[in-house]
Amino acid sequence: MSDPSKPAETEGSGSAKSADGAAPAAASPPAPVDPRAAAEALAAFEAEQASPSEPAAAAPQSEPAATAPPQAAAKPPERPSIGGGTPIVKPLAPGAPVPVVSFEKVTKRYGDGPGAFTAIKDVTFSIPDHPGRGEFVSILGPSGCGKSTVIRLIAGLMPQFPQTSGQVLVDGKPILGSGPDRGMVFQDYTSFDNRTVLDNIAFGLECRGVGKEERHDLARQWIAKVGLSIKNDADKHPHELSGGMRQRVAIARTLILKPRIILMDEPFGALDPPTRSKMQDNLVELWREQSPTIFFITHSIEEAVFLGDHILIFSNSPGTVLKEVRVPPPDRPALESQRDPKFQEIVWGIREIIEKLESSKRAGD
Amino acid sequence: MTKPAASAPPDGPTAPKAPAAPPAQPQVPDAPPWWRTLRADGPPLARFAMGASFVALLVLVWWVLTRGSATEAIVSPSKLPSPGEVFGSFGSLLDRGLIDAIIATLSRVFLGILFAAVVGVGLGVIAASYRVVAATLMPLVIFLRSVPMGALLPLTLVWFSIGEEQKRMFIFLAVVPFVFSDTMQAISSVPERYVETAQTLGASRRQIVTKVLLRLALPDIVTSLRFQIGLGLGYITLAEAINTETGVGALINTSQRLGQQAHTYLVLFVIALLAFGIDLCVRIFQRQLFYYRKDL
Repeated sequence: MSDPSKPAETEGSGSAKSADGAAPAAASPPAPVDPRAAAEALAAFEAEQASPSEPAAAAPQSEPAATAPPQAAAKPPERPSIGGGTPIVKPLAPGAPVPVVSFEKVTKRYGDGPGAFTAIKDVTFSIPDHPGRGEFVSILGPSGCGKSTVIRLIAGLMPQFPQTSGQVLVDGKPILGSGPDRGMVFQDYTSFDNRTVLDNIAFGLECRGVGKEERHDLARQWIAKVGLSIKNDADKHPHELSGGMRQRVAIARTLILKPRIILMDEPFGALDPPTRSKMQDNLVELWREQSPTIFFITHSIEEAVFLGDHILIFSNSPGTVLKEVRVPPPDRPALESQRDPKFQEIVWGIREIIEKLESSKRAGD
Repeated sequence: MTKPAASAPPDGPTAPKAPAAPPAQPQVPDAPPWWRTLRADGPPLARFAMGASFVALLVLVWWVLTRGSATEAIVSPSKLPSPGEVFGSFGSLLDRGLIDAIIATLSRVFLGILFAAVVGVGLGVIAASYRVVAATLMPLVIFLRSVPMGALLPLTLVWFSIGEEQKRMFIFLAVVPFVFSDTMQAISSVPERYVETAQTLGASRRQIVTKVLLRLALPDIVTSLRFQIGLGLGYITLAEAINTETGVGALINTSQRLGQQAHTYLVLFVIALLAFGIDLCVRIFQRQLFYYRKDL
């Protein structure tokens, strides 16, 4: 029974290395048994995505590309905070663009000896840098598989940071700690209770020393962008807000700083389904407009497939990347999109992959 | 097997209902009264009535115990004067300078607490944020917290002689270790996710301490200071009983020496009322200032 697990793992790392084109991995889905059609549909899509649709995918970029240059211009002063120009150990192929985020055999272990716990093991993936269009990376996996460890390593948050071994690179440079270029939205509500919505959203700008008028003006714009009411909500305190509204504040507070990377750790996990789909639509809209690279942890395959255009599937503890899948980026509202049979087929295909990987893993134990 | 089981449930609920149902009005069970429900608060008026009647009962017992002349009373007036005597002596207590005594005492307590707040909160915030400071200060804090304050009093007389400074320093020493510990506790119980959020929003360490940790812990720090005022009022009478001419403690001391038991009791009531009144004021102020905290 250990046989099926081996091809799956090598397949996962194989597609991780080729990063841009997941076609080789998709060409041999792990022997579809029941929903053969579903897996085939997924494979067919991936194959189609790999070659001819690369230029097609570039077409919708033209709009966000217009907003990209100022963002790029604002970047240089932030870069030194990411890394100190340490030479990259494993140079990429000459001419290849530097990926936004890359993990090279990253392992995080807590403690030593028999009591040691390995959260993630040999995690390897790389997220390419498309100028003006960040990828939306969904991270799927069972509870406790180290998804949060991956995201918190990128954020530079202790105790996950620093990793025990391997390399985590952002823009080709090792991470030295947390910074506003990598914004984070947590599942727990983290609005500052003593601040109004306006001052919560303006917090990052306040820390940068932006003047009161200016930061409040910007914060007001962001209140509207995340679907809150400038008139009614700006002066409210977090305790007067619903869970969904609090997460909107958290998203606005992060995006107002125009981060290059946004890390979201199950941000919609505690929300009811209707609120959740509204938030998903809002997030997609903001992603299109700002085009950051987003890492999004979720337990919901539907959410991962709808939001993501790149899905990382993690194994059970210790976490490794079992498979990378490319799916179509969201082109319609969440509810409409999820009614589409083609969408459902992709979801079933991924569910099948996860079940297969898990059962083979369990048998291996 | 399945058929009878399936047919039973529909009959089950209707069968017992049919005979009981005729009045058509569905029966709503009565909620148990609040005084029998665990952790349930009654209406404010009822709660006040409970407290007031208990006080009335105590006064009644007091009155019964001290009724009649000095020889008739169950408890002799030299130990416990009657309620009428105690409350009737209010005028003469005022003549002995009650108001000045209160002002003198409160200013000592407030100045001592203010000093303790500046030092205790300041060090507490730093120690909770940078644990190296906490580890360094801990032995001294534990010592000050455990040492009996009454024993420290003679030493403060030696160190600071018998002026106002000695009173303030005594209050300061008595209160500052608790302010420090409570501040550390308040800062430490701010969930880590707020710190992490601030970090990913680009806040510096100093900004996290001042804009996040201190601000979120402040309501709890004020609560601690509120308790310390009550504690300080208790300690100050101790200090004022020795070599002091002013203050409520001195007033108790001289009443005792003059054999005016009624005044001794009355001053006790005044101190208790003062402590309660100050606590109430600070609590109202706290609710106004930190209205986003519903638990205060």
